[in-house]
Amino acid sequence: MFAPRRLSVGVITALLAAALAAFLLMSTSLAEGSRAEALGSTAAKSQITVGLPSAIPPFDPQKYDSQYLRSVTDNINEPLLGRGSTGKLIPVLATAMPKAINATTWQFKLRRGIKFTNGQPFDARSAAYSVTRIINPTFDSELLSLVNTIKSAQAVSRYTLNVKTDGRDVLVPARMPIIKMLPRNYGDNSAFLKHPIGTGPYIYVSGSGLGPIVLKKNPHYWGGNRATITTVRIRAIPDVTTRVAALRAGEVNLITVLPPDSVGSVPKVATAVGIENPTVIFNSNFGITKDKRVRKALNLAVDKRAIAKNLFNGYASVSRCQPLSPSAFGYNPALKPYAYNPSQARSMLRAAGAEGQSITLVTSDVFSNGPQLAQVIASYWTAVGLKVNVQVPPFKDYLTAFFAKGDKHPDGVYVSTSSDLVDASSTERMLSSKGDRSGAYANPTVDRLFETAAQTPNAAKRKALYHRLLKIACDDASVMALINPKDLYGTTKNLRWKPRFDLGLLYSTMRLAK
Amino acid sequence: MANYLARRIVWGLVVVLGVAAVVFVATHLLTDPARKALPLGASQQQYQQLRHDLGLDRPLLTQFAEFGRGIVQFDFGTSISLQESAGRVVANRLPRTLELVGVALALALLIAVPLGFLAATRPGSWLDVTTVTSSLTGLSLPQFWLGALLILFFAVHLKVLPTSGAGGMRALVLPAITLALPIAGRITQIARSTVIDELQRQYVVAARAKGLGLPTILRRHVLRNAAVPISSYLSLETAKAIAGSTVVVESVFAYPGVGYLSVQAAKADDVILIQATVVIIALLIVGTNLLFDLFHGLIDPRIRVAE
Repeated sequence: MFAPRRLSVGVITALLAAALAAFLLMSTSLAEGSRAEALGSTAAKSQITVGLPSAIPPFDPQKYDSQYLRSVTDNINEPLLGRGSTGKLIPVLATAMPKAINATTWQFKLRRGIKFTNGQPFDARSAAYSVTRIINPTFDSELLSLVNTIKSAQAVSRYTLNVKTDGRDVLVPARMPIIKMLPRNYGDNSAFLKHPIGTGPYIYVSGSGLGPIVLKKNPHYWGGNRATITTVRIRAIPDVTTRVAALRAGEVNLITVLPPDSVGSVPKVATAVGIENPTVIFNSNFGITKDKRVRKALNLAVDKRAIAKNLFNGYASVSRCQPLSPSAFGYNPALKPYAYNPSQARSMLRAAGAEGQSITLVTSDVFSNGPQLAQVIASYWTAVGLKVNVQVPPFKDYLTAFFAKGDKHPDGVYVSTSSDLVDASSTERMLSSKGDRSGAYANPTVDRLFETAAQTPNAAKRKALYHRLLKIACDDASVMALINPKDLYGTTKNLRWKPRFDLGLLYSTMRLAK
Repeated sequence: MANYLARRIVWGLVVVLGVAAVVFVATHLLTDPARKALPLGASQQQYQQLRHDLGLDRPLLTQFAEFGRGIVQFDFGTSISLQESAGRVVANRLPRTLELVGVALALALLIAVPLGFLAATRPGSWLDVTTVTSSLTGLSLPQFWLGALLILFFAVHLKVLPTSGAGGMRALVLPAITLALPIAGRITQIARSTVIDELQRQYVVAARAKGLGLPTILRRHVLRNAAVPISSYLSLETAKAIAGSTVVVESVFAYPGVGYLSVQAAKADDVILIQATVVIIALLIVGTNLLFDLFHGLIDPRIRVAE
């Protein structure tokens, strides 16, 4: 073989090393200059950068049901009624809570002297436009199912709005936080999707999609000048490892959707009781789960405390036998979860003749931890003598199973649900036998209580009705409510902020410590 | 040459149409964008209304005919999730991906070709063993792990590079290295084995007998002969990078290219955007393969004559 001269090998190697070093040096020297810019947003005391797990949809808060979109538009577009940090309804662009002037009409008095940031006045005409837009079926709002009892909205005077419903609807106030106010006719302009305009404490400046989306403080905000954060940059960083790294590197001040096992990696953690409720819905009319003893046994067989501790690192609480989070109106704090008791579960299964039988549990990977939780539940059920078949079909097929009726509904369907109206009425989807539901449970008393509650404007009476129906459903073990996971956020040490109950990010409530 | 080009272009278009047909059928069978977009509580009526407004309730053949017409006019329809022309969305993201792939391939060649050549001239030496081991390590590393490791070291500990995002050379460094290392590993091996084969050929022996030194032989003769297999492999790596590896790398680094766009589209069941992304990438790969084939013809006259 040939004997190459040492000099050529050395020269070539040196050239190679030099080229690589130059590449890195060039990049890092450029990095020094620009890093200050990147970190400027975290170093400067009035600017923050937020890292989200997903790109932001187009800027239409009335069309898209996306918590990531809300991280932008909740700061720009305001509703007539909003929710405080713990879920209580509060007037925002309305002066007070609305009055029901008859069975199907609610009247709102609006704040005066407010302008949208494009100079258009906020008044009853723009409010009527905003309501009419979102309820229009051809608009195809993803939020329509939450507001479709509203049939029309009219400006009675310059600052008085009437909202009419199709039949009595006591939940109209609860629906109003979903309807954001837009400048009249601006929503029909295609520019709106790229440049949102509102009355809120922040103004859109630039960016879209993956970001950075830049918001600046609204100097003329009607609610005063209390916000200390003047500039917000919002970026999408889909990979959780990268998102945590960005926080640790000081590139962002706040990251959302922090997994429980990453809590130890971030400078500071902020938590809030979440609104998600992982639940298994049983087929109470057919199959192995038709017998109440079997459903109770399935509840007793699962150690929910261990799930909260081990799968969620303690960042979850055990659900109190209802598929509802504590912040929801009508939540029954008196209910107790089924305590973990596998021997009692085995006895009940034996008594029901279900020992050794097969049971199917359907879940979907669109739910965070869905397949993992299903496997954990399956292991508990197997331990008490059942043969469990866990299915994780494509989402389309999962939905078919979820909405299936009669004996086509699987024995158990896992769902992670939340109450968008922050009201126990959302449990109708699982506990009522009427309409487009996961039709697996039919109790005439519960159905009647839901109907009565829907017609009861008195809040205390309605709460009592909800408490009653939730107790009945709990006693029937119609579902297995598992846990309430906490919402976890990673922040820099200097960010002062208390998270909301609904994953909302309101930058006017944040501040950077000196 | 003109005949050759025309044949290749026609076959390329046939391939693209085939890909379009497959992706159309697959997306319509496996996805349901209307269901995906609506919350669980949405009524059946709302679901049917949305399907109608998206045109998804029309016969499949009608939808496919419209899709086929759209491809010819480069109009794939409006993205369901982004409410913009799907073709324009993909076209806007494509330059980032091409930039990333271009830099990664250049980096891979810069590392792999000299190393492969060096190792081939010293088979069995410490340099050869180190090169082979390093190249195997490079191509064995999972890219999501490698990317995370680079982020941790350069961005979190050293704080000299950004963790993610796009904008300028500095944002390209880590994603480019992540994409380049496995490619460099494979090309190093190809270069090494090709050069070892070439160095055993009669023409090299003859050149040596004439008194030419090894560097001259490598530069004037071996390099050109080794270029074709290396370039053939490079065309494969380019296709893999554009259509596959960038999905992982862009997702890890939040790099706004077509790779991450395809993930977004898949998550949203956005059939329009999925179709646009796949068809445009298919066109790009067909075009890239054609360019590489022309390049091979340029450097090796025997290929030109055969074709």
